[in-house]
Amino acid sequence: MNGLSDELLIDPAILRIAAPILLVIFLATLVIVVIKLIRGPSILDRMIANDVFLATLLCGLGAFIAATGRVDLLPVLLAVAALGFVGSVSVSRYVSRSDTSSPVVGETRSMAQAHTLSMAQRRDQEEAQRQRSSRAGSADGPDDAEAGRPAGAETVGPLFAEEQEQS
Amino acid sequence: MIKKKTRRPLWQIALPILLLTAVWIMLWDDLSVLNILTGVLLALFVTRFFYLPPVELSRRFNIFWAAVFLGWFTASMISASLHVAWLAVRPKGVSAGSVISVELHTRSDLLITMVSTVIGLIPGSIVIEADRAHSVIFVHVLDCSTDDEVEAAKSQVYRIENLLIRALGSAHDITTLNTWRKELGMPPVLPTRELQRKESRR
Amino acid sequence: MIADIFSIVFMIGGALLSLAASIGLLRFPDLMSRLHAGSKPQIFGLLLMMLAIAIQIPQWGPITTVFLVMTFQMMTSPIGTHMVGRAGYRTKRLRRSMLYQDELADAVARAELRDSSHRSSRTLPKDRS
Repeated sequence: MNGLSDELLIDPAILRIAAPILLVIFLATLVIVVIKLIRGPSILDRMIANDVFLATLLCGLGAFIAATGRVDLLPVLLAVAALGFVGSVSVSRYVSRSDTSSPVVGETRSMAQAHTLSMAQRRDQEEAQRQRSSRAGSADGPDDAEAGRPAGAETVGPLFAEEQEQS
Repeated sequence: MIKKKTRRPLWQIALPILLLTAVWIMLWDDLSVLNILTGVLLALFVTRFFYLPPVELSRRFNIFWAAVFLGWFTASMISASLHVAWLAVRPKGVSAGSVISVELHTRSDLLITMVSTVIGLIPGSIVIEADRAHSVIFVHVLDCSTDDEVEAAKSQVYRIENLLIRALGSAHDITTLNTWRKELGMPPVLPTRELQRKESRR
Repeated sequence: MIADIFSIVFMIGGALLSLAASIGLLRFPDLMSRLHAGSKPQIFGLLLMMLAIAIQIPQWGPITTVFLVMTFQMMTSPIGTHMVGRAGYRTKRLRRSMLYQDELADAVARAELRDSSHRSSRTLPKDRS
């Protein structure tokens, strides 16, 4: 930006402080996006990173246009904004079949909470029953512990429990 | 055999041409006679040869409610963007999300699409599936791990739909909305005198 | 001078939102959450940048082009997000533990149940004895 000092729109004194800040922020953003592009566990992660990359490009180019007044770069902005989404849409349309499964009914968190709650209730009931029987002094069989189970606590088990490991 | 040619109303032919010419002029950054002329010619060419099925527009456009919708949308987008940005950098991170299903009252394609687009623009919600037959959309909401937050997300979708129906909805949509609102004990939405007359007659 | 300060503030705000989007992309544990983080703050960031351009270059030509850029981005970004979300929900990478309530899976289960009962009722021979 030093060579274009006669075309700067913003006061150079302000720009001397603001420009390095902006450059550092954009650099950090792009480095993180490239890390995600390399590391992303699936192709969809990489397509999201691609979208973020293009949007950051738009922001950076917009900042440059605002600072230097180069209006001839606006069509670039227009083209990227209008056509930048085609990449991720076409890749997500053809995500390979080996990666997909039909949406299966697994155990969502609310179901898991209900499960643990009913298990905890059953455990408390058995505990109370055992304490009562030991206090009475008679060795009651397991059928009392069975009767101690609350009537409505149906354990909600997973239908097809497919454990998704995080890669 | 006399084939009756159905004439489309003038505004339905003129509106796309007007909009396309406006986009052409905005692209060229220059309001001159040549630009307007070429814009109209290109718009006619595009609408004639790349013909899309006509979108069923309702005859209503309420400027007041459109302005209210735009204001609410801008405020909501700003606050939700800051909230998501804060979720990204705070040390605790983000908790579980959820997929909610919302049954919309409208049956028109355009309105369902607009509701889905607005949901996709406001940070925190994405439409991942739509059941066109029953007008049900499935929305994935970020950081929604209590029942209160699920209810809040559903009510936000209903508010978007409410504002859009008031701005753009057809009379049928408004009638469906009013039936739902009456069930919940809310005052009905009565924009036109025609609907008020029908309502008072009932 | 005031306009310069405003536009610098907008530019830094837009840059920080992009940074927040990429940090969220890195930190969130789930594909769907990363989708939210990666696309949403960017739209507001772009809006701030376009406001900065509009403040600095207040002529009609650039302002209409900037308005068109914003319109195109707001029209196409939800499409891309929806497609990736739809594909991402169906992959093996969806972590069920990150979903508190999943009404789409319930609807799919109901549909599958209806489908299988329909099919089984059709293939079983009618017992007329």
